Amino acid sequence: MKKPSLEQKLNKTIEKLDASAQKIIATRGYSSEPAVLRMLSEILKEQLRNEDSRYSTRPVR
Amino acid sequence: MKVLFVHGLKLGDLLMAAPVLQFYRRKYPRAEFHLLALPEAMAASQVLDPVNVWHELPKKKILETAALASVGLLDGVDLLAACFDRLNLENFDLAVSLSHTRFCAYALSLICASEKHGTYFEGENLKCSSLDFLEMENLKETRKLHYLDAYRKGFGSFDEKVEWRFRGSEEDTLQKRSLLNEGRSLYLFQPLSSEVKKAWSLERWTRLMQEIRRMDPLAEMKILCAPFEVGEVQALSQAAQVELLPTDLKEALAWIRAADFLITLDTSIKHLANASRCKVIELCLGSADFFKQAIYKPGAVILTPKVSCYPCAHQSRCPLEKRICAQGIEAEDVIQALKFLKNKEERPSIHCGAFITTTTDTQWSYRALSAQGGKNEKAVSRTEAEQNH
Repeated sequence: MKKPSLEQKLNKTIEKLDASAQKIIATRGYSSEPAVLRMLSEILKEQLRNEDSRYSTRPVR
Repeated sequence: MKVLFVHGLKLGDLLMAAPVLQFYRRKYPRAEFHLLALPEAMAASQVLDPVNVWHELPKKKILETAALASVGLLDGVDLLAACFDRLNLENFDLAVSLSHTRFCAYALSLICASEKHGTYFEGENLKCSSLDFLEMENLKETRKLHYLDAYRKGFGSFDEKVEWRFRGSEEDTLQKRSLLNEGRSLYLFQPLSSEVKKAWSLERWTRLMQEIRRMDPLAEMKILCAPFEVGEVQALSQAAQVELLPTDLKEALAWIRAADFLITLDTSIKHLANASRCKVIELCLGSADFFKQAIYKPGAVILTPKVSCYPCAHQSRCPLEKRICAQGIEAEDVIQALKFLKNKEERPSIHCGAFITTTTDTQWSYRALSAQGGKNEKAVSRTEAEQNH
């Protein structure tokens, strides 16, 4: 099970990434930069969604 | 021609997409196929033969940068950007998203290719290469189609036969078979799943193995596991006096091809059995929703628990202190399933929620031999009505 502190930290990071992507789009328009930020945010969200993150990152076989 | 496939889910999901890769191989027989996958799915390279070049997304490093205060957040961004810069040096002609996730849609937006298939972002707009993907996007919660059939529709291969083919030689299988005594049946068990809430209890696995030995005294039984999982299944092996078989994916495939029966949870191993003659019983527990992701093989038996919360959401944690779904299938139910597979007994008397057998004539479907208990019964009859419609 994920530690609550780690979960909070990941949630904060996701917020930061989404806000940064939004800012870049607002000031410079859409480019590969916000796409990378959003991808990173998606990786973290997937990690949070998994009930047991111990397994979601383990090498399977 | 160069094609890049992007996959953003786990090993089992990638193995389930094998027929899509075979479809593309038939379509572009001489193309160079590249696949970008997460580290947890890279083991598929042992068995997926249409792919020529594998690329691993540095997920572990990316997550470390997000979790460590000492490392700047931008390191993760740089790692990702560098990964896609490297990929774009390959000059792909076609990019295909193999998983219907936002992660893959963003990944495809970073790939320079003249043609894109699946779901992808173009600027801020989500695009779909076919109306079927759009329908998937709009009707996320419907239970009309097995995931593989949804992909087959989206990629335009729905009218073609599903081809399950994994790497591995006939000699490997024959060699495994030769290790067995003549006339004996080989039973394989896959008791571990990557998700705890899909697990069945140690006591039930033990009772099942003991019952099989009573029913078939000459039975050869083996417990499949990855080498690093030995510690987790040692207790079961000792309690049931059944040999452990720690193998990589390629070896597991050879053993499955040599086996008569595989009894498995919802895990990557079951998809390997699609390319074998082995008869399969799948225990669907927790978030293992058989309507969407069951074994894609005719004549398999699927058992579900008799509890009102099955199937639960993939993302949510089980709120119960003791998972009741793990107690919703009895060893006796699995024995009934074995008897059905051996003798085609049509009226199994069961304790579990649903007992169904699968068909794959034009698409994945099933015949319910028995269903009882609230949600199971309703879910089975509702989906039958949808599929008939």
